[in-house]
Amino acid sequence: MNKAMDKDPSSIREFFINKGYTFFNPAMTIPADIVMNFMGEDVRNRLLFTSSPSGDELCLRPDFTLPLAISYINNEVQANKFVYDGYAFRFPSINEKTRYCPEFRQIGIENFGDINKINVEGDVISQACEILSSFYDDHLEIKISDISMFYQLLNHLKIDTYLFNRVRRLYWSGLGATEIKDSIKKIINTRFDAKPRLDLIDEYKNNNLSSTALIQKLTGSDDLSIFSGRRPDDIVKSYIDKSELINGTMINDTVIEQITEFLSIKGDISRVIELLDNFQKKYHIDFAEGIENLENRVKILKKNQIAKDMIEFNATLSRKVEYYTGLIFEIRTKDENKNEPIAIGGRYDKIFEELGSAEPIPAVGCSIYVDRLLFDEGDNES
Amino acid sequence: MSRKLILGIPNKGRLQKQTVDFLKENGLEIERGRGDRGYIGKLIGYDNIELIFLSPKEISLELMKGSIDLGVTGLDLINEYVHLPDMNIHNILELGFGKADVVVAVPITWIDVMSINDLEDVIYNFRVSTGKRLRIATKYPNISRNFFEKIGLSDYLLVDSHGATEGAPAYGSSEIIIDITSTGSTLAANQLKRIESGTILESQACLFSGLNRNWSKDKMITLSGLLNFLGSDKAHISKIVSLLS
Repeated sequence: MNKAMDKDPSSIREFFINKGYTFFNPAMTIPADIVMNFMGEDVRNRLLFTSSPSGDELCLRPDFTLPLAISYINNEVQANKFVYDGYAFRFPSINEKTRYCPEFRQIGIENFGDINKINVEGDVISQACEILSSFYDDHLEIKISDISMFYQLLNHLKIDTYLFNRVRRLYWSGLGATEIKDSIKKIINTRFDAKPRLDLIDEYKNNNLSSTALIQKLTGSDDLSIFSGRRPDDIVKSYIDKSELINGTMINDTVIEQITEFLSIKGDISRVIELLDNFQKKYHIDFAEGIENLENRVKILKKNQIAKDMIEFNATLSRKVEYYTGLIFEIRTKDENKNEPIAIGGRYDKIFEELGSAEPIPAVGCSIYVDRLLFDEGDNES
Repeated sequence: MSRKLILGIPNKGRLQKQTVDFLKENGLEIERGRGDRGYIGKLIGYDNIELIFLSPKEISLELMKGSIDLGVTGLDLINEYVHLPDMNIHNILELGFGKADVVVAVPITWIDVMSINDLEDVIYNFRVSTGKRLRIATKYPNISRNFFEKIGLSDYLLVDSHGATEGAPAYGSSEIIIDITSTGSTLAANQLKRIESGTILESQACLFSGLNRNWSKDKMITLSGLLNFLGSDKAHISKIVSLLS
């Protein structure tokens, strides 16, 4: 039975405060550049922009993690574990059926700086489950994934940086394994298709031709003044890189096959561990650490009364925000009709360094979509 | 409600001249009230049709609002100014003039950019290396946004441009542009080039109707007659009639 209608969502905030989290309400606006650097394509397309009187481009917070991390790094807060409760802003996507306005309430937690990574991850998932089961009894399921294993695979494949970045972006755009496979094939087939002037490239490499001269020869024009913020050296380097990729490209079917096969891995934990093990043997990659972490997280959940059959692994899980570096998880109700997770979380260890921190600070968090809890029903009235 | 069919005609510029010429070729003469500055007029010999002279942009907007029945304007302006054009506007007849493409154009010095794929790499690297988003000058923000959303790209910044868009990279107010071009000579003169898969829209002047306008039987007859004059065959006319009724 669903008890969500009778419950006050503020009880979620109270629950976390009792667990030792400090309540904090971070800034409503953050510099747009920071948001653009961290959010996936899907979120970036749905941001609400504004500008400061001095003309700086700002963005209404699309989540709480970024503004909280900014406050943390600026020493505006003294704790390490936070709970927040308030509105975040994103225009609804076409698939979202539960809201029509850009603001939505989120209650969530952040744990910054704890180096016992797997334990913290297990705790965050367990606590989110505990409070959510007071809304839904046991009708919850947990989906987990680990993006670090995917990055490990991309590095292992030794693909060039252009394709690496492209695949990375395809992943974060939220496409499924098959769509990603088709897109990679398309990218490869429409790669730099000029007939490169190898003679000019040779001249350039032998220092007989400057970057600008090479560009002049290729365009057939001596009168070139517009480079639009790019240095001729960089343009030529990119041109040569791309030209060389046409010939000695390392992209073959097995690369695409490995990416697709990895992204297709999903199922219950025992099955997935078997699949990951098969995968690492087949393609000579070492997933030992990833598999061990997965097993340990499940152990902690089990200790916290979360049955193994509530947990499922899915390699293409929630990719709304680009800052995840390891664990990603979602909590959903078992109701087949509800396709949106009620909580999303994960690990984002690089966020502080990218915000300018001198030292790495491990970070884990989880957000509960309050509107989804409340809107979620009405069908239990009978 | 007026029983006359209200037709919006471009009020100035090349599009107006081409429209007038086109109608003339098909035996239809325009009479503009109070000379060239009047905003209403008629087609000589067709009392059931009232002409309103508006800017091509206004024609797009008025079609969407439903304050005119028909309008001659560019497909580019319909796509730019009408929300969900496929659902709100019907393209009744392609008129065959005013042909031009809305395209992505980059500096010719960008020898490493041959296609949208390559541009995607540059846009991504531009943000990573400069911390800023690549700026695109355009007078078509909606068309541009839809285009990039379709290919899943969002690391750019649109810069409003009204006129002389092709000059924006030259004076540093944007890195690349999205603009309309027919021969490409203005692009070339400004050291810009088109790229593969960078054609967003093939535009031309068309006769449009709004879908939310009440089409009386009288108006429908007038429309059928007009289309007949403009060279539409019976099958096309009955298709349009059934779509609007």
